[in-house]
Amino acid sequence: MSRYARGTGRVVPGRRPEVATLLRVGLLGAFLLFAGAATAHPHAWIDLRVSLLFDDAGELYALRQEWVFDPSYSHLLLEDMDASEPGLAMDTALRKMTERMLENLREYDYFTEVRRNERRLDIAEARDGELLWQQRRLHLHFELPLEPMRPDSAQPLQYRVYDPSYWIEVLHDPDDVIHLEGARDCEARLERARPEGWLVAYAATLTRDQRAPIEDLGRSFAEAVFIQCDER
Amino acid sequence: MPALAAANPFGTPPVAESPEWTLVDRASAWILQTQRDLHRRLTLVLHELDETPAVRTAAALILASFLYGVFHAAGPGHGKAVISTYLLTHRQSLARGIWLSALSSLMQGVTAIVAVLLLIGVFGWLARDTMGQVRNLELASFLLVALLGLWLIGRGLRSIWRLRRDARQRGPFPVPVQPRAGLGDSVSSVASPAFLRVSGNPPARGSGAMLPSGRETRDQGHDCGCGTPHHVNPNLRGPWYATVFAVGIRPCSGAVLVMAVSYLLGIWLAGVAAVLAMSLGTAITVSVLAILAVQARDWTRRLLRPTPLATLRYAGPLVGMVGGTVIFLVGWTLFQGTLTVEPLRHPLGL
Repeated sequence: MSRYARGTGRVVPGRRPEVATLLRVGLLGAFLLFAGAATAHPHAWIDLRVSLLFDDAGELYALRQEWVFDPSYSHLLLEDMDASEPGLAMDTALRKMTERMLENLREYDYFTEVRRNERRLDIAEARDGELLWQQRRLHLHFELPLEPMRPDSAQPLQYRVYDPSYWIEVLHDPDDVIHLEGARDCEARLERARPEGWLVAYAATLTRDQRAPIEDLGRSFAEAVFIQCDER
Repeated sequence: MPALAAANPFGTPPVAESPEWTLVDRASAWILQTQRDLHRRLTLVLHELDETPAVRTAAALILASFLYGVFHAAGPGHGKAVISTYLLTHRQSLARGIWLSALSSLMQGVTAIVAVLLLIGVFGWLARDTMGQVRNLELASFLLVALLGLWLIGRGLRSIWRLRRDARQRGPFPVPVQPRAGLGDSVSSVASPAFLRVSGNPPARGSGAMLPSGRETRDQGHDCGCGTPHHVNPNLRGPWYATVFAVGIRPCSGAVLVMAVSYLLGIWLAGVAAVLAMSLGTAITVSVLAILAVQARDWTRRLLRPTPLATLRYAGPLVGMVGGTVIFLVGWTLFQGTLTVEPLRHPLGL
């Protein structure tokens, strides 16, 4: 103990610190205080794979999604399922989980926002839901039907997929592309989010069971995809 | 357009980065990206270790955890805010400041390990429920932080009261060698030499020889109150331990998650190693902050020395009380906030 008492916090006569040094050190301190947190949102992530389905007339009619949950979250979800209904065969369990997930997500439009000319479109009920267990990760597949349309330059289409609470981070799988199936002369452009500094810091203060009072926090961190086809 | 579409049959999106990014935007984007990368690497390596156990993978896990700890540090500033406020407003040696940060960070890791081994290992809880339990430890930590703040305020008041009593006893003419509280002392510095011996502090070495009584021989023939602290025990032992405990009892949920998942996978020893490496990383970051806080305090005192501010008799205790108030407010608002907030129920379960 006594060794700490030595030379304690004593003012050593010396040069006064220069303003520049103070500033530099202050900045470093601010950074250290600011630099995120292990408790921060998000707590899990989803790698998103999207296919945009076009019909023979060249009109977009559905948004097919595959959500690849991170391995830790996948294991926790499975443990949870196993605990609530023990002894279920894997495929039965996965089927039940699919139903439950899609039912819960319905209220949240399946975390999907689709806009045409900035106007938000209604999201119909998802179809072809399926949950697969592959390479230690849960893969949730589903398809969102859309009113068939051609997203031309007059009426471009954009979508975002995000968890509004930002508990889970949804980003397009960096190893995948946005598939435009059956599209003619169409292009998808992905725009990364540009959250403001204070939002990043704010998200870092949110703990695991905390709901962000900011409505739609996740949107600030979401990627936006713009789809546009040439005139026919 | 058609040419591009032909070149990219799958419609590979060209990623657009707007040109008008400011420095702050860039910095926060970089922080976000680094946090994201570290979180992902840590998770993926943990599962890789479960799938194909190898020394290399284990080493990669330790490294990933360590970096995660360095970067993410001890929570969103609650621990860091308490530690830096405490060190800014209470005189502590550099070594004790560093130990304070290091021990609280390590204790956070140990709390996570013990919580998981106890709740999941012994009581057979679900990982989900265990992680929900972190909330209670958080509440306890915030409450203890608030109490610590109150304690520091109380100490400041007691110091002032003793200084006043002392000043009254001395009468109108200042006694030359009477120790007094300058900016440096937030505790009563009127302790008797007997107290010094009892508390086991050796005379400080360094500049200025010491009298056995613990007073410096530096010439202070007039009542300068010059802000130069006297070597009367300034280190607050009680609040020091209290800070370690109040901060350390709250495990970081990242550590709990890693620990819970590795237990689930049956590789809990790897989890222990990962969490300890994480705490070590956190300890380093928070120690740097502690060094800055101690330095900033010393610099402030040096800057203020030639000013009349330094002659204020009660400056030390008052600064200590301000620190106590800030710490109280941090603890209390977090306690209130956590108590009133409705726990999030995520639509995907968990």
